[in-house]
Amino acid sequence: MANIFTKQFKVLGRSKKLRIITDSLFLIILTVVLFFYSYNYIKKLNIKPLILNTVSTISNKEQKPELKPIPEKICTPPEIRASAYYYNSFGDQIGIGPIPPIVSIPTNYWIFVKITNKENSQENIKIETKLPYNITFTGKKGITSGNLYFLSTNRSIIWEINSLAKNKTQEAKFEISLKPDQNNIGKILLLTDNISISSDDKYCDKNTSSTIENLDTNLRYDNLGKNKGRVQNLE
Amino acid sequence: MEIIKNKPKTTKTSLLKYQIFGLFLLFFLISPYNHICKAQTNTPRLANYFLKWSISDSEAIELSKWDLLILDMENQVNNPQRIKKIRELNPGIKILAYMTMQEIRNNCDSNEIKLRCELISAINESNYLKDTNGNKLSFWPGTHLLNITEDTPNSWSNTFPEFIKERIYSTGLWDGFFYDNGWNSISWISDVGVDIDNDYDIDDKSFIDSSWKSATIKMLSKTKTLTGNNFIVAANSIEDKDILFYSNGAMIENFGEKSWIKSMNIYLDQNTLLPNVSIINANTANTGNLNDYKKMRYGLTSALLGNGYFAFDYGDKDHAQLYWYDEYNTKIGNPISNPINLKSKNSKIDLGLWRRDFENATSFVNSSRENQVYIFEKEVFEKIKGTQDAKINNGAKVNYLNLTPSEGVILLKTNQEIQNSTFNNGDFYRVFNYAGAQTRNGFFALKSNFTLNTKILVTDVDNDTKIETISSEGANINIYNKYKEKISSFYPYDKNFNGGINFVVYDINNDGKNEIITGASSGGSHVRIFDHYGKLISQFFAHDKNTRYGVKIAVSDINNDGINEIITSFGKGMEPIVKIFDIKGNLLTSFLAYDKNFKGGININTSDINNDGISEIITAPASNGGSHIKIFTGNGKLLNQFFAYEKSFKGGFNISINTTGDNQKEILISANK
Repeated sequence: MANIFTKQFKVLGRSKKLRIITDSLFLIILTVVLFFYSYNYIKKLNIKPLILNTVSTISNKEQKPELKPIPEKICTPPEIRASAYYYNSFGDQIGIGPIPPIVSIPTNYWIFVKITNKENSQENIKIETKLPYNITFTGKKGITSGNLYFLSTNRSIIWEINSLAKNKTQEAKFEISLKPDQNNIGKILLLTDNISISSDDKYCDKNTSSTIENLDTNLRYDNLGKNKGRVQNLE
Repeated sequence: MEIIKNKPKTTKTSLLKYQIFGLFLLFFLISPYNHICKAQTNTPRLANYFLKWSISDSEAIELSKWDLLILDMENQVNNPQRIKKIRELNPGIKILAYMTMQEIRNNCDSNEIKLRCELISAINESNYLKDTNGNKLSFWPGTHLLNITEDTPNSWSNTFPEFIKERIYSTGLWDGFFYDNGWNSISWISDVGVDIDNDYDIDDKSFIDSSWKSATIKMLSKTKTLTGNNFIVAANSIEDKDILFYSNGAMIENFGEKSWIKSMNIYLDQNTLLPNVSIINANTANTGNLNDYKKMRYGLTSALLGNGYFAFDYGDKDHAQLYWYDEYNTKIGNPISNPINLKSKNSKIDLGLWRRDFENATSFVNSSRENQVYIFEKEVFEKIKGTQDAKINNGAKVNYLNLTPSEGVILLKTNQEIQNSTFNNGDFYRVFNYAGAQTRNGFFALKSNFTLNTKILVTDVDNDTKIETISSEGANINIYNKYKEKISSFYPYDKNFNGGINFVVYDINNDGKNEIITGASSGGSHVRIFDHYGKLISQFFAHDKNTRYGVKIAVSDINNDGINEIITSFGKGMEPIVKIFDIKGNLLTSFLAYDKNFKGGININTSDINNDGISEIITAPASNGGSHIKIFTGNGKLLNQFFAYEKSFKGGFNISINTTGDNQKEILISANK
């Protein structure tokens, strides 16, 4: 095939020979430029290791493949959500007592807590929140797992769960009673003081924790009961 | 021929015993004192002071709702059939004939007052009460007063009680007679001076009044003597306990206008003839403002401090209304306590904040002149759920009271326990009646010592009259005593089964002992029947063995044949079929509860919801469905249906049944997404 081309090239006129050489050179330069830009584009796509590895493999079988980067460890406790209600989402009254709260008269609310583990298996999960001085735990509670109790020494509600696998959820609800005093008139009061969750992350082999926003008498998640949190005097 | 001499000598003795027993039974049944033992089952007890001379058919039907009626005596002439109609509709009703004790119309000017005309025709001039100038005295327009102190064979004080006996009592239409104006004095009627003895001389006022009081007592006594113990004789406006003693009770008209203490002293006085028919009559003060709910409640809750009756109407210018209130529909049950003043902590009749407890409710009344705030430390009540007075009858749960002066309220006792019906622990249940109306506030069915979503049943499982708690936890059915100690446990299915277990407890074979009937929530449709020890009695598959939709169960006699059936439904993936089996597992019938394309599964329960003596089947979607509750007969005929939540909400719904204190059934529905 090459001999046929050489013979044909030799019989061509000078101008034609010049044109072929020029076209060939142009084609080569174009190919190089295209290769260069393709290379840079592929590099930006970050599949360089594969290509490089492949190229290396093709070009030099003796070259060692580059190591893949190790994904970063995500070490967080389960996600926690907490909400306070006087009316449930259907508008049923689940709380008792006046809202807005009235001095010296108890108002009961329900606190709902949900934890969801999106990452690694967790152990020794502990959810804790302190109850402000004018709030008591009525004793009514419901949990899907673990143990929920009131620690009187530091006025904390504590919910402990032995373990929680990935993509699992647990729920708890409990009733608290607020009895405002004269100092609370006109104020929106906290129902919880520092809601925290801590757990031992098995994968990360360490304890992690987080806190979420406190709940107050304004009941931001309660469609019927929200914005009725300012304590009033008895008329 | 049989030799009679061998007849036992005791025969005559036995006959005598039976005769004595029969007499005793007869005495007990007809004795007026039987009324004392009769329980109040339809409190509050309502009276209607309805003084039209005749009543229409529709009025008769309405009036039958009351417990005691005071109807003008002319009704016995104008429409006796309507008095009978009232009794047919309400056999327990008391109906008293009305007439004033010492007043008569000036003339016979209507053909509706035949009895009055008869009386007028018999009256002599000397019978009238006159002043010292000889003028007839009058209290009410269009009438004249009669001198009841006159004591001659033809005097009113003798002829009228005889008239009552001969013309009223003898008809058998009435339970008693109601005298208006049971006054203990009369000297106040004339500034000129009452001529009590017809001598045209001014008489001493104390003499006039003492004579009048004696005459009132004499008329009451004579009426009672002539008509007997069973015929009630009551009177209006009695303010004197000496007079009260000779009557079956007093009505306090225009309640609230005079001293509460004085009124209640008369109303609560039990020193009357029996049966006692004391009545508090509150009214709109002739304004017609029937929506003065506060005034109505004040009178009603004051009346509830005693065992008498309550009436509310227009006023003393017109007593003939059919006003009906939310509180009247409330079955508060029998009283279970005496009234107590929460301020003074005793029962002495005085101003204060009063409380009285009933089986299903508690009544409070503030008779003081200040606002009364009372916090219930441990109790929670529920306001009546009604259509009137939205601020009061809104069905809200409350833990405190704030009553203004002269105000009262009835609060219902809350029931937040489910017994004899399996429930999902921690669910919030809405409460419905057969018609689909929410009858009261919902509640969390919550046992704090069990995890959420555990199926629980509180019942006497072993027929020892003690209540146990049964739960399905994991693969187990566990039974706990009232001390929360586990007394029994068994595996209805494989010990590693973790798909959830549905169960009911029922005396399925009518042997006097309960069985535990189980179905797997997921997996095969395997129905199993155990004794309460957990020993397997029998089992069957409610559907193809190879299907994995789970099975829900209920047990009842749904066709009234005296034999219980097992009713089943299935979980997600299966068409919404309800299958009914006998206790051996033979299929009796089946029907589709919802559209056959609905595959969310259905939950079921059974109960005689409408108190017709036959159990119905209640269904609800178990998942991905609207809250469409349906009630069927045992053979699948749809009786009623309603939405328990907003129609747009889609989820799964659990059904429990509750029986109230007055044996009404409630349908309890919880929702899960």
